[in-house]
Amino acid sequence: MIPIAKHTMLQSLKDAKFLFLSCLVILAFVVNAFVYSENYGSSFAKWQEAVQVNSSELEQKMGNLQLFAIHYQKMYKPPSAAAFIADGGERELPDTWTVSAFVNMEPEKTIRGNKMLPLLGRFDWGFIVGTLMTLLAFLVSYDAVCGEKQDGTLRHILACPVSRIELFVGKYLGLLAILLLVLILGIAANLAVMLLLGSIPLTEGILWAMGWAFALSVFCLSLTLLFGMLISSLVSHPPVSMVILLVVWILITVAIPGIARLLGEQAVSVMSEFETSREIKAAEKEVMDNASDEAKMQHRDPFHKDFPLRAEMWRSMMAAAQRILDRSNETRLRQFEIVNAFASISPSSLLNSSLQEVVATGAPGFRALKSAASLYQQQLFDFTTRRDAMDPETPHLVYAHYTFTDWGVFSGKPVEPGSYPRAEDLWRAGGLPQEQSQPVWQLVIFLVLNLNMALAAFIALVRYDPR
Amino acid sequence: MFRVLLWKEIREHLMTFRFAAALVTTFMLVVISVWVLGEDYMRRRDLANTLSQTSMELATKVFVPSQIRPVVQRPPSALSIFAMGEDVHLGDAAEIRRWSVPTSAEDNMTENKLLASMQPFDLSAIIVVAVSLFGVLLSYDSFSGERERGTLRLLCAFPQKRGKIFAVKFLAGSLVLALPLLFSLICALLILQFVHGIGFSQEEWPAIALMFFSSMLYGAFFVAVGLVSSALVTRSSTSLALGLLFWTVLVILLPSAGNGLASSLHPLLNPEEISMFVQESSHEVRNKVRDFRSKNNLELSSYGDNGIEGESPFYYDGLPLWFRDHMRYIGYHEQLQQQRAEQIWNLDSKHLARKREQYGLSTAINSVSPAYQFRTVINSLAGTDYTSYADFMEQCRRYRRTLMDDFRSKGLFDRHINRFFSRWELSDMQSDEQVDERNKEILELYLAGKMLGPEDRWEPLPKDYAPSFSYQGGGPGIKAALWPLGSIVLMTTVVFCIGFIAFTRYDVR
Repeated sequence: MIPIAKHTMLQSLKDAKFLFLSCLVILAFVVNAFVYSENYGSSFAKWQEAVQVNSSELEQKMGNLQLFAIHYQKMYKPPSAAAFIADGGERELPDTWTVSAFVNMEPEKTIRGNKMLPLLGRFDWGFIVGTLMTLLAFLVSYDAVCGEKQDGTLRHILACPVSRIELFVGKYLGLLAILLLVLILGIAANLAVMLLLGSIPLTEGILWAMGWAFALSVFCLSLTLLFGMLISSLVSHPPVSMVILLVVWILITVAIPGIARLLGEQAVSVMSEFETSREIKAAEKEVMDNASDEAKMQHRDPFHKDFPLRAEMWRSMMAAAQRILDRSNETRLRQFEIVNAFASISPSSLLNSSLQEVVATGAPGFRALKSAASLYQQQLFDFTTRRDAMDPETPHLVYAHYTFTDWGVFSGKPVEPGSYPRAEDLWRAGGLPQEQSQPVWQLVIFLVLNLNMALAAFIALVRYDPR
Repeated sequence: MFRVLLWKEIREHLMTFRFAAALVTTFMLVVISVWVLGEDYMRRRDLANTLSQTSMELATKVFVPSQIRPVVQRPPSALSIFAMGEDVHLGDAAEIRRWSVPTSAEDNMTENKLLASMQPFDLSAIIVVAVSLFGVLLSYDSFSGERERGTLRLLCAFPQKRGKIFAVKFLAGSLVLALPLLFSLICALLILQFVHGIGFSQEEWPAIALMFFSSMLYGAFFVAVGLVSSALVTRSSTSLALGLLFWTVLVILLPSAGNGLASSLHPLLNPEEISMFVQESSHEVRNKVRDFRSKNNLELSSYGDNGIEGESPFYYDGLPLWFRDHMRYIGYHEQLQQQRAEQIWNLDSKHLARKREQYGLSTAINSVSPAYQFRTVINSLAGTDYTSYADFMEQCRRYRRTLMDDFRSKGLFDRHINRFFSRWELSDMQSDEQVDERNKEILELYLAGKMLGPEDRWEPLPKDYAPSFSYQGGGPGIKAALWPLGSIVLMTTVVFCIGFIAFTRYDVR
């Protein structure tokens, strides 16, 4: 077993294909470190500036609790320092949420560089491993069995006292070892460049994410390797297995993610922004129509002094609008996730989506931003309620209708600096959310797929005719 | 002899497993993509119609010109089925306001912004990746493979110049690669015609033909790349490695370089400048208005100040009591805001020019990659490139100017400022008694619950009150496509020559 593994390794190392592509992979890792160090540096500066502007605007409203509560704050998602692992298309995703104590609105994209720059491929670990290294895995494994048959060496090996399972495991371990060698060299080069440039903080969370990314990459590579061995033991000519594997490679890297998007868009229908705003208006009108005449009368007369009914009406109007906004965001997110789920039949997409899960970019990042926005709104509301409870002179009706409030329904005392909740506190250093998710079940899926594929490849090898 | 060789080569290619794989894969991918994107195009087309109609409907309920705030919608181009291009992340609509000049479009039709980060799976993506790979696969063993089989000696034993043999190999590979393309494209057009009922116009057919031609050329480039890698080495497995290496660099790696390099070589101007100016000028306007108010001793209702803040079009429907003063106040404010819009636009256009330069640099860097050049060709043919977006924005700005000029020519901003904002007439309320009388009337209506809204009292403006917008689609950008197409031709020629030189020096033993 071990001699076969060693032999396979040496053979691959001598191979021109392998050398070319592995140099390319390592180069890609180096470029990755340069690109993302630069990106993170500049986008972190932009984020800090935006947060600064937001807090200085907020400080102007601190003279009055009511103004503070209805002020629309911008909650910005900090750029993820771990984006070099999985970019997740952050450049195009919404990164800002408008939040006041009473509502959190449609997310939007505000911190961005040049919108005109063409939409090009990403250059993250997910791409390097899921696209380049899967190609490498196919290139080293396409002739693992049928190549030996063509050279006539397969018969020799099988004539020796070597069982087929030993042959299989030996080949597999040898090929996996050289792939791991390339991966480790690449990551080492990547880390070296990042440490040299120093703009990405290698915090504990990011190191954890790198660990997970490594484990997932190994499983993904092992899966593609086993698939290559399977095809290699199903056909008798290496060129045929090469063509089949290249077609499969196109399918898993380009076609399946693309088709998944098309299918996902058909499977889940999403409300357009236009429809959303129309539904909000309709819902508000419904609340208004269902309100008692007395409440309506109070609504119409700005000088009416009896507020509770009006407060009740406006609260339910806001709640209805928020429900619709939340639902529309939720369906968008679900569509996004269903596209990812469809794409997960492809190992490289599965790798990408699980890496996004680890570093909280892409859909998981958006979900983190969404929950942070509603949490922050809740914090602001609780803060306002608490402050109002301290003020004995008001009727304690904490409510507002979007941009204005009834003066005197809740406290208008000044807010002390530093006492209120801040949106930035909801994120950890490096732009990771407070709870880092562990992609355990993705790992399990990879494991199960690996076992199945190993079994299939082994059976194919057992049934292979070496003549 | 040339023809005989060509036929032999073509027949050989047609019998290979590679060709079958290329045919089936290309066909399946193209059919799936065109089927779904055709449906998607119809949805977008209908949505664009609905949106521009709704914008029209809203326009019919307008009572005074100041409320005219049309949303201009850019209809999708039918050829975007084949190439979604940059449309997926540049916007498609703009709201025309008096107080701001549109700089970038909004996303009106994108239903899910979260999906914008994914590359669309259209014909151009399939050709860029799959067809080019099959091009390399078809030709990587042309010489090294024949040498291994021993047939290359035979071939070179004929009284043929090597140049001819090389040309035959190139031509045969390109023609064979064109077959799956032609077949899938015809099926795609049939699907669009008979399943979706999408017909193409007179001016779109040449663009489709040119799309096919450029795809063929792009495929031919990679056939030439395959030939080069075949003529450089002696073993076919090494030439496959070389071909795949070239392919990975040209298709996968190179087109990602431009953005990063361009943003670091030619950074954008600090956007803080704009936001600072926006804030400062807003304060300035507020102060000027306040001065104007106190200097002229204007009597305004309590909401007079609040009503004109923000960018909402102001519409005066209050009690006539403060009408005259309000009109002076609003007219002054309007003038200031329009000046401010122009100032902001001057600043914006400076930044926009910088962004355009950065884009140009990125394009220039990327243009070393034939894959990027090919995308540029297809996108400009489909009208989904950056240029047609910029053209749309220019049209929006022109339309805004037309609209403002129209208001100005009607004298709405100076002599009849009241007509611009309200249906009340100054002449109705010359004396205090008249104003009192009108106020009393309105109060009575209000108390009786009869005063519901402006629609109960006034007729809306006629539909053709202001000039409307019609999108002048530039049609397929054939001219814009010629330049990158020429560079693909050039690259193919260069690669062809390299391959030719390598082959003349090739040792056939």
